[in-house]
Amino acid sequence: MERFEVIFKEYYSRLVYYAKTKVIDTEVAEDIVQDAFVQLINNKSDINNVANPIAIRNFLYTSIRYAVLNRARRLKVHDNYLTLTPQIEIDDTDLEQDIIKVETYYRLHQAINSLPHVCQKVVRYGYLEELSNSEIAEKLGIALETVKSHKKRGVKLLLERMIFLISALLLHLF
Amino acid sequence: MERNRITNLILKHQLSSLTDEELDELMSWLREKPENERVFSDICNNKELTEAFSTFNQANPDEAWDRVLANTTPAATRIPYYRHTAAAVLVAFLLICSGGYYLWQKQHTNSPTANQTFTTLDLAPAKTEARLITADGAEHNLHPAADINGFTPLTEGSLQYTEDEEENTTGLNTLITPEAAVYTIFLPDGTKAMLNASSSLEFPSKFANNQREVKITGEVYFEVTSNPSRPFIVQSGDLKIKVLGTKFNINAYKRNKRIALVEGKVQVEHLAKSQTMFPNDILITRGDDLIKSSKSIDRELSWVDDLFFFEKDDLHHISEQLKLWYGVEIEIAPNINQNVLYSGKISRQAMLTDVLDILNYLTNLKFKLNEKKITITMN
Repeated sequence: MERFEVIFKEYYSRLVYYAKTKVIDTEVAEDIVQDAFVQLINNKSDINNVANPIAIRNFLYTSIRYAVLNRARRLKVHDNYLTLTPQIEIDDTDLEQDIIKVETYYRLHQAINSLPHVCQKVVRYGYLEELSNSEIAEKLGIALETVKSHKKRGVKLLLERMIFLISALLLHLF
Repeated sequence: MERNRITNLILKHQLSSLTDEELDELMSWLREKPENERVFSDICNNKELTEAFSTFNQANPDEAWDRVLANTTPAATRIPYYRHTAAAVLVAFLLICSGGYYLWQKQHTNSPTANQTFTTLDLAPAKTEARLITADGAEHNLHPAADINGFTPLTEGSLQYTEDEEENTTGLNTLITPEAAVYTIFLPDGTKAMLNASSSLEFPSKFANNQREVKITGEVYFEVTSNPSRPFIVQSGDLKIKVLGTKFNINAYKRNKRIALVEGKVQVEHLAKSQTMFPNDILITRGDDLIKSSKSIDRELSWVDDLFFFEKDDLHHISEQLKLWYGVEIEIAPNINQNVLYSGKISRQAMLTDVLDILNYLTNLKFKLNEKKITITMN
């Protein structure tokens, strides 16, 4: 159970986002992820014996994908899902692309959140809201040069942290 | 190519830090199939990114896990009713009686269901409920669809307040929880304040430039967003807590107030006394003094985790908790020895009769609910 808890907490927000891209409504997405875990636990799924984090990750995304599909079949036409996502049969390529997307967003989010305060603000404004350096300087009340140096430092730290995350994952692979 | 490798390359591209070789690598992946190009352009499109980030920020894995657990209780189907409810709500109840009563003896002398007769309706635990008095003096009951200028209800039981950047308002807002209810508010600086039952939080329409000042009554748990140039100050009567960025709980229900620090560092001022606190410290005001408590911080914070947490606590303390949480009155028979101390945890999501079942089962006392009043007598 402890291991389920660790896995659940680690993947929850990612899986909710993944489900949300298919069902639109956040609450429905949350329910789907929670239900999927209830199933895994109740069925005493052997996830507990899987050591490879990549395998676990793929397994989780696949489970959510099936949950979404099953729900769509159950609900037939009376749902946002079908009107907004007409293509019901998602093929494996889609899953592959979706995982890359969600994982990229998630990793970037983690890395940005780990940046020091001001640096984080500069990175958010600069790369996510696409403000210019002078706009950022004005918004934060700091010098233009300071914005530039924060940006530089932010990018450097982000790269270091992302590479760390990725090499940590790769270690498990080989 | 391995997915993590692609993720890495795309991120590097976003940060304009690809080497020439890596750029080639990325380009060849993009040429592999049209779906790859679609993913790439989606990721470069910040609209989706913003959506993803806000989903990550809002997801609450701890709360979600509790819900998963609630649906996987293995006892749910097999154990008969009485035991099932008791098992579900009983996280762990260790009984430490200074008088030397042992739990197993009770079990043998007393069938748990024998003396249970409830003649009254059950009471549910506290709700998420609060009133808000805004700077203009208007009073609002908070519900998910409430429409109040600057205040946005989030999930059930929480509220986001956004400062009006244009206007220079000066008024004060007050959030008040009634008996047996909790409520959480997110202030404009990102600080989270969770109000326990019968508590209040007063905060300005707009924080000053050099500090963020709020006042509380009752019990509030804070997660303060760090900002060294604008310290966050919590006041409660003569007590003043100055923080830079930290997590802590303040319990000001009674004259002896308690502060428990989870993370960071705070400066506590009480009349002429002043003291710096470090993580896991608990300070109590006593008269003019500030003294350190030896109780565990888990006990102070248990309400945030939705638990009743007793640690060598007497019946009076347990009664106070039940009163606060279920909005009941309590009468303790005069012949009961109140020096007996109890320890244990019970889920605060439990119905009152379930909690009383557990107490009946584990103590040598009889808890009986009638209307909205609990009487405690010797068994």
